[in-house]
Amino acid sequence: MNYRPSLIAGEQLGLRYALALPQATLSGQRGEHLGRRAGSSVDFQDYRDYQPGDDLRHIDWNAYARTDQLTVKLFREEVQPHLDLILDTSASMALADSNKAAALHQLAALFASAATNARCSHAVWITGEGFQRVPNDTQPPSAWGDLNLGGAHSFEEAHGLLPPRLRRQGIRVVISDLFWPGDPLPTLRKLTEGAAAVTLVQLLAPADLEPPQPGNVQLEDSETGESLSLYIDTTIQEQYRQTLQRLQQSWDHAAQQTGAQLVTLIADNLEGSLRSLEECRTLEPA
Amino acid sequence: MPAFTYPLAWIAAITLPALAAIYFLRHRFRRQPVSSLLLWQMHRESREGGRRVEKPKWPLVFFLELLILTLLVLAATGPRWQIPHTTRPLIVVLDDSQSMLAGPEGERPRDRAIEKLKQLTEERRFRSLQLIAAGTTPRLLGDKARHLAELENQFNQWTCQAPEARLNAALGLARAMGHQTADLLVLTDQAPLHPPSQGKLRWIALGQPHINFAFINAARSAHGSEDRVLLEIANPSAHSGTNTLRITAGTNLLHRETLTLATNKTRRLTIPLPANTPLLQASLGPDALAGDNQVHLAPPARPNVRVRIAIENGELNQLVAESLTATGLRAPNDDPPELVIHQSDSVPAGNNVWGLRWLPAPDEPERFTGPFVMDANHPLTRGLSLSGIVWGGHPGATNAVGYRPVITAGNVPLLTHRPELDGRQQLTLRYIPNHSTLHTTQHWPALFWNLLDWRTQAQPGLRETNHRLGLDIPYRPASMKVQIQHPDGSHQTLNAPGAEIRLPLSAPGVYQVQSGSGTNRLSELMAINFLAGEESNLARAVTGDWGQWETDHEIRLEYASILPYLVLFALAIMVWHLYCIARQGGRT
Repeated sequence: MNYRPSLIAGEQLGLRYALALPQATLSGQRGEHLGRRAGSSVDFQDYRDYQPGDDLRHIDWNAYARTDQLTVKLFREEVQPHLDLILDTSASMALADSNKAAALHQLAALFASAATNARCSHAVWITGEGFQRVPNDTQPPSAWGDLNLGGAHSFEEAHGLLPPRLRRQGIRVVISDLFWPGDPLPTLRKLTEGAAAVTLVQLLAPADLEPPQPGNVQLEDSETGESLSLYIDTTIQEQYRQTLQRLQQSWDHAAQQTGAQLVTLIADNLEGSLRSLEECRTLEPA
Repeated sequence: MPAFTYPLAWIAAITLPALAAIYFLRHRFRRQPVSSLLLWQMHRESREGGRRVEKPKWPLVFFLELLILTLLVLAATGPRWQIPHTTRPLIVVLDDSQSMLAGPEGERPRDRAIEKLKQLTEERRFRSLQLIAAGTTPRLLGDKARHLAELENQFNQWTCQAPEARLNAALGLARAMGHQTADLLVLTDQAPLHPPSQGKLRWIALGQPHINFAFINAARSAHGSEDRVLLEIANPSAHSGTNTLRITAGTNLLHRETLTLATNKTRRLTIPLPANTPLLQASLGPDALAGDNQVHLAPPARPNVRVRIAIENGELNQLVAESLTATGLRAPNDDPPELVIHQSDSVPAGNNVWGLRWLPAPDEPERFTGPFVMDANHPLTRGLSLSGIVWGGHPGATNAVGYRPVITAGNVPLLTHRPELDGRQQLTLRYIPNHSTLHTTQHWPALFWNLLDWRTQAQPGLRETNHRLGLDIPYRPASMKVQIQHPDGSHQTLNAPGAEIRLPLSAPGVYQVQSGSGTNRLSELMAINFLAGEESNLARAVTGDWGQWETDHEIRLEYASILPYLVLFALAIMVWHLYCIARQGGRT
């Protein structure tokens, strides 16, 4: 399936937005944003005693004349923030008869484009045999390589096999349906460790939100291929909704514990759902 | 091999694949890919839904329904299966006469006959059993039965009250019903006149000779102002014996006598009684047969006729009056008249009034000396003879329209008769006493007796009050309903559409018969007595077995319907199906 149009559409959609940057905790290569450390910007930050190796250009000679002490003038560091875009490309994100995969591409391109608008570098990670970079991921989305949807391993398994090398103090956006068993807190701790900000985007298809109509249904797990034959009635439908709600609550609770933000988007109504990203200050108008 | 009455019903078998299709469609699961089964494996099973449906998707109830449909379709075809059958029905002729009740309880021929029949039906299978009671007329005791136990009610109707057993007539009926294929069995106490040969008839006699005294005749008749009772007692046994005769009227003992009679001897008693003596009962001491040990004799009927003489001629009037009185049948009064003897042209008025028109003498009568022609079947000519008499009549007289001649002299009618539609009779007499000799002979009162007796026969009520069991009892009702009180106190009402009916009474005893209402109400006492010398003759009772059925068993394969079994089986499967459905909470 060719998702290139989705990437382009997402890229164009992302032109309207810029990635919102957390000021206090930014870190990165030299760039145009003030970092949290001393650097080479024009903004004065502090004085300290000269230490061998310091740049002689930063010695405050006026102070040396008055105090006969070599004092170094510190300026705020200018950094370029970095976005690590972590995509769940397991088979569940390519759910048949849904726009989930297209929405994933569109959303990833949107974030990459918004990061560019915010003068952030970005890297795109996908789940395969462990986490891997997408070819040409630093380029605009239209130049990216294939995201290879349908990986055999779930997000958690891929993280166990080969975790992504995420940049410290970078911004991390995780796009997944978050459908994996177990406590989400350990996984989320790993993702938020050393991050400036973490946003969990739960991308769901309408079929994930609403159970099938009553009747005999053979459910097929898109990842494992397992099937389950059920007679679905209104009781079962209600139980499914409650289970989904409990799952989201557990993720929300874990996100609150780790300082991450959880946003749920509907694949079929992606543009309408983007407002929630603005509300949680992940994106802002460009 | 089965045969099918309605093979077209196999078309209904189309429901079988239809049922399979319904189940296939119903149990087909629509495929639904989901992101993860995670959310589905966390649910708790609800009562109805959520239960995992394991493959194969053909539950037990499907096969039960398939079986039910198959059975119903098969039943609709009307299947018949070859089943071995006993081919022969058995028709049993049961002696219904009183002699079957001779002997002590439990050893009577009737009891032994029932036991014998049970034994025979245990030894040999019959397709069906049919009972015929042979009394004075053969009668069916009920429908055919497959087992002897079903005949218990019919045995209750075998009362053995008949004064004779017409076994041959019953056998004729049995042969007609059996269509030459049935085995026939006669259960009686007598030996057959002609022992049956090998064939389809078996004759079994179960009687035993006993000493038995019996009334063989009993009568009570009116003789002027008194009654006369005739009793005849017989000992038709092989041995002499002694018994006691008692005659009572109410609580009064009128006669008691010890009778000692040799074999086949009789004792005849004639007893005069006052006319007002009530119901008489004569009885003998207990012996082998109780039914012939007692007779009742009701007071005899004394009919009379209210006659009005409307003849102006004094001599003729006196002649007629004397003639009527000589009959003893004329009532002392004449109002309302039942018979009017007159000389007028008109017919006497009034219901049930008969008329005898005595034509006045002509100026020149003619003396007829014969030959006289009489209608010998007419009630008026009974016992009448006109030989040697001279009859003075009307010369050249002709018969009036509607009248038929009873006595003529050549072609000259002398006595004519015209019946009317309402039952009245009109008579015309041409008789001139001055020129005749008939009124000087004994035939003259006979003629008048015949006239009054004929009139009494048209009166309502019983002609005779004492009857022999088995004979017809004529009765002229005074209304359209007749009430009968039986000896056991029960009441019976009969419709009497005609002028005369036959009372259907088949048991000995005293009956009260009533009809009419108001002043016309008629209530009469009547006795029916078992008087059958042949039946009381227990010396001829024997035990024996004559004739044999041709084969012990004759089994033939016959097609029999198995539809009831299929339907029952289907019902049982339906119950099982219902149980399965209930156990699964209503889901299939």
